[in-house]
Amino acid sequence: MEKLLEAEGLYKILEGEHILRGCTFSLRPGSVTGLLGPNGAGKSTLLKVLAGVWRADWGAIRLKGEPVARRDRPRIAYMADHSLLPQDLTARRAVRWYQSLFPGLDRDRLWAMAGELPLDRKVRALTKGQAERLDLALLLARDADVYLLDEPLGGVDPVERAAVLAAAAGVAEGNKALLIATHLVHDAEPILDDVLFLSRGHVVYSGSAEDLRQREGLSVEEKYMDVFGGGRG
Amino acid sequence: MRGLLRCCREELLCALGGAVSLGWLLLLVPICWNGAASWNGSGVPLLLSLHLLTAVGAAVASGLCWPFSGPFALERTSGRPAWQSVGGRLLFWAGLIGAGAALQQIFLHISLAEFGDVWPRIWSDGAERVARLERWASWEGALTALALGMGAYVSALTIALWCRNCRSPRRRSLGGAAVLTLLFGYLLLFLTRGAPLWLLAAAVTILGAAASCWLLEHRSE
Repeated sequence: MEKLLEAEGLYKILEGEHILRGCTFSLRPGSVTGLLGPNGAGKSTLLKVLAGVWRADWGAIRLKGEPVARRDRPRIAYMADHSLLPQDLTARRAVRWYQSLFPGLDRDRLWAMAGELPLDRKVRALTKGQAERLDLALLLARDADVYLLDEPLGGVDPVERAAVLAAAAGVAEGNKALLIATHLVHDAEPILDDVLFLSRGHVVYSGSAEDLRQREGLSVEEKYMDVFGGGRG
Repeated sequence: MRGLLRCCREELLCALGGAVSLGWLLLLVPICWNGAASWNGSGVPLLLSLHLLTAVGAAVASGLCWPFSGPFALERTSGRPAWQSVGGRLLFWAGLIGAGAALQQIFLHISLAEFGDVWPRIWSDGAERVARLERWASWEGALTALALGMGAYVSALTIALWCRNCRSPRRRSLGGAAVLTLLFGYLLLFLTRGAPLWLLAAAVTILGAAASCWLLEHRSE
């Protein structure tokens, strides 16, 4: 199977503004794809539409060749750029709440990542790094086909960042795909198999990171600067 | 059915973590008990209804906040059908408001004999007041309280879901939804003066629940 997730001509209008303008791309099984672009490019909106938080105004999303029905949505796991867990619950209760919403979590994988967190502290009282670790642990413990991560590296220190990237890369092994939106191109580059450049709701470049290096002799970061920075950097 | 109960349990978890404090509910018991046993002033029926008022207040707050919260977005990605999301919440809040209404009835029954003795001596219309309270202290009164509480909750939930999809930034906010819920409640009571309260509340609950399901399914994503 060549394409795990396909998006075709996705449009999304919010408050009269076209945020997505016909996004078309696909994700390969076993790949980590970087969703890269400047602020306001529509990265978060695209992830929300793919996850089913928002419905696309036009366009189609297919998972394994089939349109994504409501019952298929748990197959696309989504982590927002801020924690969506109930803020007034303790971390332990929040895990129980999440388990009820998404049954069948891999408990070993969950506690391997979340075991050291202060579970009796309320979610709103967790540090940004702790909240992201909890969100990521819950996300990666799910048995999904596609994992969508919105800025998982923001606000975490370099050690934590490396741990997040290693965990994220690990989950994409096999037939799963991971789409990760980030501004930290340099940090994410080592784990990226494919890249997707988004600008003002358009996909302006998509391809393999390795092809980029071999054909154009550019790293992902250099290509990013070439596309969005007018070649600076 | 399992999804409905799961949603009900999740709402219980969230409510106990935020809107409803178990400690506060327990603390209200001696306050109400004391009120029921010792104080006979005109404000005492309100004091005896603290559990009910707390439950209804928490339900309305929860209904207003949910569509604007992170858990709402996460739940949309879980593939849960709208009828389970709305039905599970209705089930939980009906249970809590029903418990509040039952406690109100217990406290009223404890106090009624005392009121019947004291109120006619304090106020000229004391006997009428006691009669009104006696009518409320019954199955009909408890069911009316439950229906009113659920009507308030469902109104708040439906209006918040509608506001979430409004284009106007002022309406598409928690504050906007709260103001519109207050206005809706005021207008409804003003325009339907004289209509039986339980019938009005039951109609609002049924129509609001159906509208909430529709909004969740067709407009909220």
